[in-house]
Amino acid sequence: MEGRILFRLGFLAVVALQVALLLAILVPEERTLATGEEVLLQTAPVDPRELFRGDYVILRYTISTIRGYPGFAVGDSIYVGLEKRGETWEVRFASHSRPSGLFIKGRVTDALEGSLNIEYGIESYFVPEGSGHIIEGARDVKVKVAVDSSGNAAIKQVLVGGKPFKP
Amino acid sequence: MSEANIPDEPASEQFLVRLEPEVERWQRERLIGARQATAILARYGLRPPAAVRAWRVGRLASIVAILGAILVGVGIILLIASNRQEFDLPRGLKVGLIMGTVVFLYAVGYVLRYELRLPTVGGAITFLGAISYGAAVFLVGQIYNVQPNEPRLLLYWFVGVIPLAYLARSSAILALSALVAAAGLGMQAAVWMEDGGSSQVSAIRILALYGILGPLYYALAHVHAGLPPLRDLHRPLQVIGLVTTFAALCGLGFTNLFDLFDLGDEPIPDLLGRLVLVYSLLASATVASFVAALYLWRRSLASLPYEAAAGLALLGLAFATAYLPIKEPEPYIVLYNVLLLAALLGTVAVGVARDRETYVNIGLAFFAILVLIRYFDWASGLLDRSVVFLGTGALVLAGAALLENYRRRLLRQMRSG
Repeated sequence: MEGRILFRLGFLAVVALQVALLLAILVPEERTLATGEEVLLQTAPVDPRELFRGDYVILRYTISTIRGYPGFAVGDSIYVGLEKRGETWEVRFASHSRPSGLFIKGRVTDALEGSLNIEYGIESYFVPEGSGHIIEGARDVKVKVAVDSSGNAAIKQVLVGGKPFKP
Repeated sequence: MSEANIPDEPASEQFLVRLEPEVERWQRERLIGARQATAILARYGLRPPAAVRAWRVGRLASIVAILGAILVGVGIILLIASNRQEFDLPRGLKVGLIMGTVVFLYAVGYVLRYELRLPTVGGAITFLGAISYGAAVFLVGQIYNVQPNEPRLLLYWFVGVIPLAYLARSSAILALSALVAAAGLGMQAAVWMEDGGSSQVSAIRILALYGILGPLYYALAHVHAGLPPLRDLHRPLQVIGLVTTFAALCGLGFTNLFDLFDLGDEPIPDLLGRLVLVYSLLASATVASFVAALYLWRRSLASLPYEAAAGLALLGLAFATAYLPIKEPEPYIVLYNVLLLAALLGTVAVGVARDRETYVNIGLAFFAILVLIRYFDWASGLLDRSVVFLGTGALVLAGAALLENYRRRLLRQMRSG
């Protein structure tokens, strides 16, 4: 009887662990979406597909490539300060350490003579099956992104031609 | 552990299938009575014939139920992955539905298996729960646009299901865990290598990683088989271990791979990084597992020291491939092919000696694959190919002749003794 209770508790603990792991994915994202400052980024997307997770577009931003920073290597963390220029937000500076003001945190994926490619964790946007081509073919794609005080970013909305993306 | 406690090797399925009619025949011929028949069958975990038949039908039902569970699981994944507008629900509701499905499946699996005593269907639903949990991890990632090449998602899947495999004593969930871990390690290694700027050599290094992981699974299978409470769970690790090892060896024996990715001038940026830590941990775990297996099976499994030696040889070679600059790849290619051929012949030999059909099947399947891919890969001209195959074939035939000679000597000894 005692063994059965222990087994039942073990089973419950495993299910609880799985729920906790799912929460570990979504809680930081929800926190960023809820507390982050909203910025609008200009993009240029391409459209691949992933088995089991559906269609998604890869988004590249104007802030994904920056020049004039020779002190960075591939794999380095990078903090990119942002400033509003017109409608969208662009690079103000980049540094190795956390700056003051609004900044977004990324990882250097390519570095050649001070020219850096950076990923911010907001490069994938999942779309309903078969609708990726709409974003791919659009001339003007902007992304509304929430950026929290630690520089973590999460996609809030994709705007195609200035309007929210609705396939 | 005393000698008496050294575990017997689990009886092969072929043996068990043969044992039942044999025991029936012995009973008919009055060589043994009903009590002895029951005792002999019980010795191998079998019950009298009618019960054995019921067990077989139950096993078939279990396999069919697991296949059904896989199909339903893939269906659920694809349905939600399609991300259709019709299911465009608020984010919170979507997440709630996904988590609810997982918890519901586990609850149904538990009730069916442990409360209503329907182990087959209950086990299959629990397995479906484990697949659905993995789907849930990726779908929650999808909802929040988490990067698709994020290895952390596979890690969460593995960490979530591995305790369940042991708690529910489920071979299917253990196999799933082992595959998820293998995929996650490969993906993580690829990401780290990209970070290190060495994507050029990642194909070789990832294959080398699997050259360490395969022997680890295989050694763990022997440890599981040697510990009575875990014995039922050894088979998936054994099969996945063998397949992973042979697949890695097949890949690393390609001449083109080393031609494409010249490791000679490539810097080794991960030498002191996270990747070398992973390689070292896996290699240490493999060595420790082989040592534990040798201890558990001491003297009762004659071939295990040779299997361990082959596993450790591959481990060393994989380590060298991953971390030494390779200016002359030819010795590596020859060594990998020789090791693969020896391992395949050894596996078939072990299979025949231990009456293990799985070993023979896997060994022969990879032998066929090896012959096929080397035919196209190894030698450019027909003459070269013929020399390679004639040479290898002559060696294998010489081995067969030696075996035949040994068999005759054994027979002579038996007749004279």
